[in-house]
Amino acid sequence: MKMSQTFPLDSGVSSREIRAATARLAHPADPLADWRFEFEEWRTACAEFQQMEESQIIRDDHPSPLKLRQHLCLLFRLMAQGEYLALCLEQNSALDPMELSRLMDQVEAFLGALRDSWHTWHGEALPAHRDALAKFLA
Amino acid sequence: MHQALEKIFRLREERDLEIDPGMKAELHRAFCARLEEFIREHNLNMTRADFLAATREDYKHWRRNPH
Repeated sequence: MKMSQTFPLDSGVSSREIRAATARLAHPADPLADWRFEFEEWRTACAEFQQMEESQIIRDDHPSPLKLRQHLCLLFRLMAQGEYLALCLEQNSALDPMELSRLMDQVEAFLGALRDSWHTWHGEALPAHRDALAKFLA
Repeated sequence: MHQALEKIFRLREERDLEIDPGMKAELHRAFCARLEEFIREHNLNMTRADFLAATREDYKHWRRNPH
């Protein structure tokens, strides 16, 4: 069922926009309130991406070219957003260095998982590397 | 499969499925350290990316089967 059939009235503001405004107003003294909201949204998207990867790539014997392309497209979008979040942190000179390092580690962990997914499912597997690993894979 | 590879696959799965940012950062460090150590220990002439691509089907199989 489409949303419009259940909720015919368009409020003009998405729930995401309302949550973002609420987060900002709830933490007026926090210079990273907007950043934290975007980070939470990105983390949620990364978790959903992992579920998608599990069901459409890992559980599928032969993922279709379309599924692989969707996977790749989402990966690039998520990686781009993660890099943007990291850049925003780097540019925030008012941030305590310890807090900056802690948050950067967290962003890097999610980015690392995304990069590894890219190498795994879209990287080139060379026979020479499989040969080198053969004794561990038997 | 060699125990060392299973350990790497398990660390990766834990890291990938973790959603708590603090825990994920710790698991990411552990996974990276273990994988780099494995490549160095066995004098494997490959990068992390090479390893991940080369073990694609093994990782897929490992994730699909009880472990």
